[in-house]
Amino acid sequence: MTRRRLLAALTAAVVLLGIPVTATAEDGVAEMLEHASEAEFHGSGVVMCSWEGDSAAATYEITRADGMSMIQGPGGALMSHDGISAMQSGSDWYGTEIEQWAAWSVSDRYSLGETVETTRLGRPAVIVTVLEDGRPRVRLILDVESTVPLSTEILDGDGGVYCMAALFTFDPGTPDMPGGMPEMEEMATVHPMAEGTALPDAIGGYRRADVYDAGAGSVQAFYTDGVFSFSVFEARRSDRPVEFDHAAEFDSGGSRYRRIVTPTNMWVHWSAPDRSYVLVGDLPPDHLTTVLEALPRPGDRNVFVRLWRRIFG
Amino acid sequence: MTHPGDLLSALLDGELTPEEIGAVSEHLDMCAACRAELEATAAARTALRSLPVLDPPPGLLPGTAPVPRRRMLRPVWGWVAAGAAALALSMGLVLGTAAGPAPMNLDGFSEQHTARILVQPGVQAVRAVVEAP
Repeated sequence: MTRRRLLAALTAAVVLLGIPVTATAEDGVAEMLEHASEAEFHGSGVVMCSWEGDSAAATYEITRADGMSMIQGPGGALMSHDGISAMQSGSDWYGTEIEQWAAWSVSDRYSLGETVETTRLGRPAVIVTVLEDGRPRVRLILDVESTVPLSTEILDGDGGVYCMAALFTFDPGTPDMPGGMPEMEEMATVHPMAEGTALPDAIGGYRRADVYDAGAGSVQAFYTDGVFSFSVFEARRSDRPVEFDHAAEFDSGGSRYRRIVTPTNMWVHWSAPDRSYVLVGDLPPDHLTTVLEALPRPGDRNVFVRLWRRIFG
Repeated sequence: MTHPGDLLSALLDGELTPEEIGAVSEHLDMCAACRAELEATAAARTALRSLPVLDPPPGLLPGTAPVPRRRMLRPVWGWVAAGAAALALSMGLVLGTAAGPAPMNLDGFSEQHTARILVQPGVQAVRAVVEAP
């Protein structure tokens, strides 16, 4: 048994036995998430996000085995393995490879709360709460035998459920998986950039882990606190995501933004005087408010500045 | 539990309590008909969300009646307006020489973000990743 697996098993045992783990709080969260993301199973479920009256839901099937995962959702299938993800469009597969990424760590603001025994889908399970600075932030129901999360709820700052995912069929064990990743019609490599963005190194407890080239003059800054994550795509001001033309507007910190809620993510768009931005991630709305306040604010250019830049660059 | 019926829609709306979600999930595990109904409901909602938003014809909705014709400007203001229009036109010609708005590739952004989050654990990777807008 490797050290990682041993740690994961120990953590799972600690979690499942309900032994207080606050002494190694952040390690407990990290090991639990790591183990949960490695468990092998097949299941189907529903995933949903809801924010201020906007909600989106989808059903999906998930299979995970041999370090590979396959998710079948309304938009098609997604496979991932070892830094490569492949999305199916029609009968073709399109791959994306992340060339390198920063080490993963969980912010010390998270800790494990108490665990409660329960049953889910006819199986022994435990309710585990991940606390953020002592307040509930994520509620998981883990299958005792496999530690697969049968239900995940992400809570907003007011304690309401912002996003949830729940399996309604669950088959633990080692399911059948394709022998390897599918034949790709196209493979895109995502290159890191040493420089290229003035976006902050850290925002609201999230650290900027990586910066990547996103093509066509755009840059992706990837932020994570180890539990939630988001990307900020910084593009030319003239670039416009048409998907947001009829998106709902919302106010944050006195500025107006547009948002789209999908079953797993929040998408936000705004244009600052110099650049256009798209943020995508699963961070809770109260985190989002803090993050938006630290990023360039929406605003129009002064007409003379615009004229000057158009003429002289 | 009997067939959850309207609770399926409430589940998709995020209106159920954790206990109700548990009860509905338990039922879905045993009832193929309800699983099919849930998937059909979710698919219908996705299809509805993907429909384009159209502007209604003028006058169809209260408060959208055609705007009355503007009254004529007096001659002196007419000259000012003409001057302003000429200035705006000349600025527009200058502005127009630069590149116009270009669409963003949100699909590409989605693929890149998804690929990145899948290389590490985290709540998203544990839950599932489903789609772009």
